[in-house]
Amino acid sequence: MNLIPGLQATASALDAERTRMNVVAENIANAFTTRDANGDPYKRKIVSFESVLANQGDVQSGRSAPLYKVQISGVTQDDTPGKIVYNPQHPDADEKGMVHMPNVESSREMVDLIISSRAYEANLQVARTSRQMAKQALTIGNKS
Amino acid sequence: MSFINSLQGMGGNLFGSSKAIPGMDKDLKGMLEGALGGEGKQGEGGGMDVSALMNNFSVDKLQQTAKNQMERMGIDTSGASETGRSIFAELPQMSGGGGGDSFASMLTGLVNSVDAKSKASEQAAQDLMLGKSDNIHQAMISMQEASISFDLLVQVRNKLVDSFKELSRMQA
Amino acid sequence: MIEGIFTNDNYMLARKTLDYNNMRHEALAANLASVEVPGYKRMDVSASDFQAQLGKALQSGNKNAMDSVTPQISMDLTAVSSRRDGNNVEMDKELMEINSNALEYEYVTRYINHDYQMIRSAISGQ
Repeated sequence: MNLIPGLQATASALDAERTRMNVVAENIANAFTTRDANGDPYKRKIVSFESVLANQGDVQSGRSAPLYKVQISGVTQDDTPGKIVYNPQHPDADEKGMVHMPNVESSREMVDLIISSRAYEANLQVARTSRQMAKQALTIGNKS
Repeated sequence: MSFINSLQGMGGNLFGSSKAIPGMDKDLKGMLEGALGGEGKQGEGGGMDVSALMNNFSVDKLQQTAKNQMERMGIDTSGASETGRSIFAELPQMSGGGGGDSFASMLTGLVNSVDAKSKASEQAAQDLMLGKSDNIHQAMISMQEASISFDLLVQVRNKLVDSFKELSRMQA
Repeated sequence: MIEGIFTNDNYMLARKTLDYNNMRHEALAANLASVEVPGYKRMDVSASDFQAQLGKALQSGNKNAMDSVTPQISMDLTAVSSRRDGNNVEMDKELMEINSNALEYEYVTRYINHDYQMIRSAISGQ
């Protein structure tokens, strides 16, 4: 039973945005991780979205165009080199005393986080409205 | 919908065609008979034939009875019967002696369309529950249409039963 | 007899408008969901097309013509993209449209309820 209109797309977007926020949080948390499992500095991760078909269009049901939902097409690594800082006391410093820092910039991550959480909230609002509409449809025939 | 089928059976019995009664559900039959106040049973037993009564029902006869009654009470009826006739003349299918037939078909039509509405509503509900459709408002609408149609049918039936009781009282 | 109750012009119009609002909500929700997808183009149900068709069917007085009108989702060609990723969805505009569409839906359901109440009191006589 699918009672709530447009929920599929909204749910997919909420899912995608939540994953993006998780990844951004991971990036921020690892902004100073100089050694990961392979001994390299942490590399920033990027989430990318893509559209997937939610509803095949067909003219009879009034969908002459298909509707899309969102899906995470992949989480990729940003391979741009990070800053190199002089810090000879650091355990991961090389022989010249230079430390390779992760390529995470906190300010950029914060911007991503804000955009993501705004999109999340907007979709949450839509989910509420959809629910309200479904409830409204269920009142058809009630005595007002 | 067995309830509607049984109602339809009732209609057929009331108006002359005696085919639909055997399929009637036991409980519903009892329920209907209870609602009818036992007339259904009487009609079946042959004590009082409803269809004969309906065929006897004609406007002329009704007017005659009323006229006789009024004359007995000493009221002048010379003008009244004219008005009565002109009112009833606007209902062509009821002014003849064989009016029972087309009235029966009208009632059957009503029952059939109520049945169609409730079938449509059931189909919509089924599609919704099986996930074939996601249109709740149309399902709710057909549900309400079915329920309103059924209300109408029940009200018409109540009025019919009332008028039947009235008629049987007049005959006695 | 039964058909006569449910083929009144405004009632049929309301039923169709519910379809339209429901479909439009789906389209707008999909737009907002895809606000962060690069290159996504927004979809919409054209109100003017749908209303013109309904008006025409209404004037022809043919109940079947009214029944056969279906709202259509199509790509919104009037929206311009102001973003570098080619996506032409604006979140605030979309949210506003969704809210007003939901209000329209509420109005129409209330109208239908009102219709039903009138019919019911006509039937029951109370």
